[in-house]
This record gives sequence, structure tokens and C-alpha cells, in this order.
Amino acid sequence: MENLSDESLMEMFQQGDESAFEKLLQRHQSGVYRFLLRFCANRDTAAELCQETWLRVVAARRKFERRSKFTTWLYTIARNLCIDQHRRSLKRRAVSLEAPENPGGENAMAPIDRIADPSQPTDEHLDESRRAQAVSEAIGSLPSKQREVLLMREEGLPFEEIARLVGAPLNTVKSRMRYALQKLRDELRLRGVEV
Amino acid sequence: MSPKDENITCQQAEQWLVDFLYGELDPAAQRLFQLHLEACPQHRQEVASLRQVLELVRNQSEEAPEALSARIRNLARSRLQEERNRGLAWQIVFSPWTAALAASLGVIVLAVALWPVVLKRENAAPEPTASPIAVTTTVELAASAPARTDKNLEAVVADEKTRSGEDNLRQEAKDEVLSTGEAEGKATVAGPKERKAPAKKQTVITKFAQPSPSASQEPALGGKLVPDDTAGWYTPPQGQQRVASATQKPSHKQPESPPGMKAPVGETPPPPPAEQKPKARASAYTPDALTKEQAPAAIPEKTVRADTDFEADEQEQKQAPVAAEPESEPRKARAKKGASAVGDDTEVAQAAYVRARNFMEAGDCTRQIEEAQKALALAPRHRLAPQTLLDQASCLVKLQRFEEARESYRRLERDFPAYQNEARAGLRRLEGK
Repeated sequence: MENLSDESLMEMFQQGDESAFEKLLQRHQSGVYRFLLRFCANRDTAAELCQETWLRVVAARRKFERRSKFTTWLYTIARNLCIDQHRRSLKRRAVSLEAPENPGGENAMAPIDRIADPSQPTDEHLDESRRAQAVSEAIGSLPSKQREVLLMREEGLPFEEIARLVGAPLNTVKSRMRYALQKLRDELRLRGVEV
Repeated sequence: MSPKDENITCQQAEQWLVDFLYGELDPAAQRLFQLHLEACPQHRQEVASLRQVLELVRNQSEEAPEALSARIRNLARSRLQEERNRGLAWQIVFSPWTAALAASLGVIVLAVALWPVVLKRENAAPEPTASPIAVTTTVELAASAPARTDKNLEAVVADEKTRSGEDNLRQEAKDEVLSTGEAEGKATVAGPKERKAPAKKQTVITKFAQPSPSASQEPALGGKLVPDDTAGWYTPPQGQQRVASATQKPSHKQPESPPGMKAPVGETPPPPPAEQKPKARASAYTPDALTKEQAPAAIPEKTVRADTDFEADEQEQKQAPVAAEPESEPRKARAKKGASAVGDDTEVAQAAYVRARNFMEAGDCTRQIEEAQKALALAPRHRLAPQTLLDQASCLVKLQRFEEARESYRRLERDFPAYQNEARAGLRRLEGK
């Protein structure tokens, strides 16, 4: 089973082999979770969406056709859930400056604290966790079209697949990727990360 | 993707940048890009910084929590189990035996549900404007019907019960028939089919004594239903009209019933034969039953749909304004007879409710009150009753019959709690009058 492709495993799962599903979960769960976490910048939401993604895989397994790649299908589900979540969050967005940006995160800090706090670390003092926080924020600041391309590519999806998944031409996807990297660099520099 | 020449421009390098970063350029293009980087410090720096960015992003990798994996596994298993259970249930549901059973039940339910409609249609008279061809077909079919059925019997018995309140009218009709003085002695003219008619049929005729020759009987006697020159009603062939009347004579005397087939008085009447089913439909339109100008007066009562809204009913009524015109006593009686042929009190009541509403809108308070009283007596809990009571009370106030108006409001308050506010408001308005 180790050498079987995702699509073969999916076929086995379609025929009722639950261990095939376990294998797929094992292979891709972390990738999907990372994608969702980077996209939503919230661990609870990411976990919730990750769970929903896999449950949809279970529910819609008969609709999967071998013609398409399993990862394309999987990330399409995850992406659609992200979009839905994003829309929901836009509707109820009334961000309080006093509310922590990432309530579930270890370094939860309200925007107002970060602005007002004179003891914010400078470049020299950025430790690893601060750097990770900066990267996370920088990714969060990307336009969603650029962000999704970057995150999916980082999870190993080829550009062709991403292009199919997001419904855009291949060159457009590559352009989005380039703009994403350039903007990410600028954002990291703004946050004091030397790149 | 391979370049044609050895040097690539900065613009070309921009386009290849992402592929270069991910190592997706083919070897030739890779080599050209490397050459360009050696020559272009700007792009060299760009590539270096973007590599750093990617490195930072990759360093941030985070594994899914173990608890999440376990939760997803458990949920997935339970969903699959649910699906299996559902699938089993569906397999049972869609087994051939279940399907056959369901189909049989469906047919039975449909038959039971449609039976009153069918019965009503059979009893109802056809529209006077219906094409003669359609009427002819109905009667011809009836003539070709082989025999009565037990269901017909039950239906007729049930129908008979609904008509118990109109015996007087029927008696009038019987008297009319008898007054012709021609029934007796002509019965012998009836053909073999008439002779074959058993006593049961005659008993039915006794119970349903029609005021006029029944058109449905004519085909059995060799008659043909054709439009006459005035109203499109059935005209029996020459010499058979009397015979048709004669078939009803036994309804009073029953002289020709074979012994043993006579239905004892007071017993449930046997059903009309199957071929008589459309009789009611046709009989209401026989020349005796309705004349050309009288017919529309009776139609609205028969055609009012029980499931329509007030507005729809009103519209229907407005299309037949004759119904709202005052009627002479015999016409009223005939109209009532027509209604009795249609069916139950509810329909008659509904028609009366609608007429009451029309009179209300026309400002004819006296007739509104009359129709309202008639309707409320027949179906006091009808859905149109509250509005009719309100209208009636208003009319009574207009006519300065305050005590009766108060009684209407009290009745509304008592019988229809949802209308308590209106009723109380009306009673308040009547205070001091």
C-alpha cells in the first residue's frame, strides 16, 4: 500500500477499503492542515476546516474520478472551505483592536498592544518564534489569490495542477506566485526580518 | 521553453524566475538562466532574497495535531458506518417486494383519495357550455357500461344520505313528474333493456326520483344525446321521452318489480346500475330540469371548488352573475335540486357564502343576510363563516336591525376566537343603539 498512488488508494477507498482512506489521511493530513493554518492564520479554524475537508472526502468519494489527481481534488475541497470561511469572516468582521489577533496562538497579542508597545523587538532581537510570527503575518497579508498559489505550491502541488484547481491560466498562476514571493519579502522586511 | 539564443533578457528572466526557484526549468533553460544571473546582479540579488523567503516559509512547517488526526479517523469511521446502515435501509426499501407493496398501497390510496372526486363528477351536471360531443360521449360510455358495481351502491347510499335535507324538493319534483299524467301505461313501451332493469334499479329511482326524464336512461333505450336547437341539452328521440318518464313511475308504485327484488321501505337503497352513473350528470340538464335561461343560475352552486380561496370563488361567481339575481321560487327549487345532485351541504354552503359576499359587495344587504343565514345554517364552521358573519352584522347594522347584528357579533366571538377583536369592536360600536 505504501507504493500505491493516491488515486489507486482512492479507488480502493471507493470500493470500501477503509485502510486506503487511513493511508491517504496519513499522507496528506499535515499538508492540508498547514495549508489551512497558513490560509486562516488560526489553529482552531484550521483544525475545524481540516476535519471538514476529510469528511467531505469521505462523503464525496464516489464522485472522485481517476482522471484527476487526488491532491487537486483534495485541495479544491480545502480551498472551497477556506473561501466559505473567508466570506463568513468578512460578514462578521468587526475586529476590535483590543482583541487578540490569534486567540488560539501562543503569542496572542492585540493589535493595539503591538502598536503601542515600545518594547517591540527590533531586527536584532527577533528570535525564532517572532520570526515565525512575522512570516505568518506576512503570509496573511498576501492577497488570497497569491496566497493560495504560494501555499499550494509549498505543499507540493505542481503549477499545472494549481492552475486547474484555481481555474486560471498557467502563466497567471506563475505570475501570482512571483508577486506573492516579492510581496512576502517586502512584508517580512517591513516586520524587521532581514531577507 | 528552450531559448533560441544563448542570452536571455531580464524580461525573459522575470518570466522564468519562479520555475528557476522551484527547479522546474529544463536543463537548457536552467543553464541560460544561470548565465543571465552571472551577468545581472539585480536578478542575482532577487533570486537570493526570494530563496530566503521560501526558506522562511518552509521553516514554518507545522504538523497537524495528533488529536485532530484521531478525531478525523473516528468521524470518518462513524460516517461510513452511517452510510452502510442507510444503504442497508435503502436496499430494503428498494427491494422488488417492497416496491410492489408500495405500488399497491399507492394505487389503493389514490383510489380512496380520488373516489369522492369521481363520485362528485359523476353526480355533477356537465357545464351547459360544454360541447355537445363531450356530452354525447359521456352518455354513450354510460350506455355501454356493462353492469353496476358494489362500489356504486355504496357511493349512492352515501350520496343519498347527504341529500336527506332536500326530500321536500324531491317530493316536489316527483309531483311534477306525476302531474304529467303520462307515465302510467307508457312503461310497457320500454324495450327489453328497460324490462331487464331489476327492482333494485327501480328502488333507486324511487329514492332519487328525478323531476324529469333522465338523459342517461335514453341511450339504454336507444336514444341519442344530441344538442337541441336551443340549449344543447339532451333531446331524446321522438316517442321515448315519455318512456323515460315512465321508468320513474315505479318509484311511486313499483308495480313491475319482480317479487323478492323489491327493496323494503326504510332499507338502504341499492345502488344505481353502472350505466346509470352519469345519469345525475345528464339528468340535471334534461329539458325538464333546466331550461336554457335557468341553467346558469344553478351552475355556480355546482361548480364552486371547495379548495379555492375566497377571491377565486368570487371571481368564479362574477363570471356567472345570473347566480346573484333574484330567483323565482320554482327556479330556486330547481337550483337547489341541481345542487343536491352535485353533492353535500358544504358545497351548497360555500356557494351561498360566496353569493353572500357578492351581495355584500353589491350593497344588497337584504340578500346578503338571506344567503349568509342559508350558508351558516348549512356549514356553520366553514372557513368563510367568520367573514360572512362580519358582513352579515354590518348589513344588519345598515338595516338598523341592531339586536340581530349584536347576535351575529356574539356568535362570531363565541365560535371564532380568532375574530374576537373584530366581534368585540363591533359590539362596542353597537353600544347605545
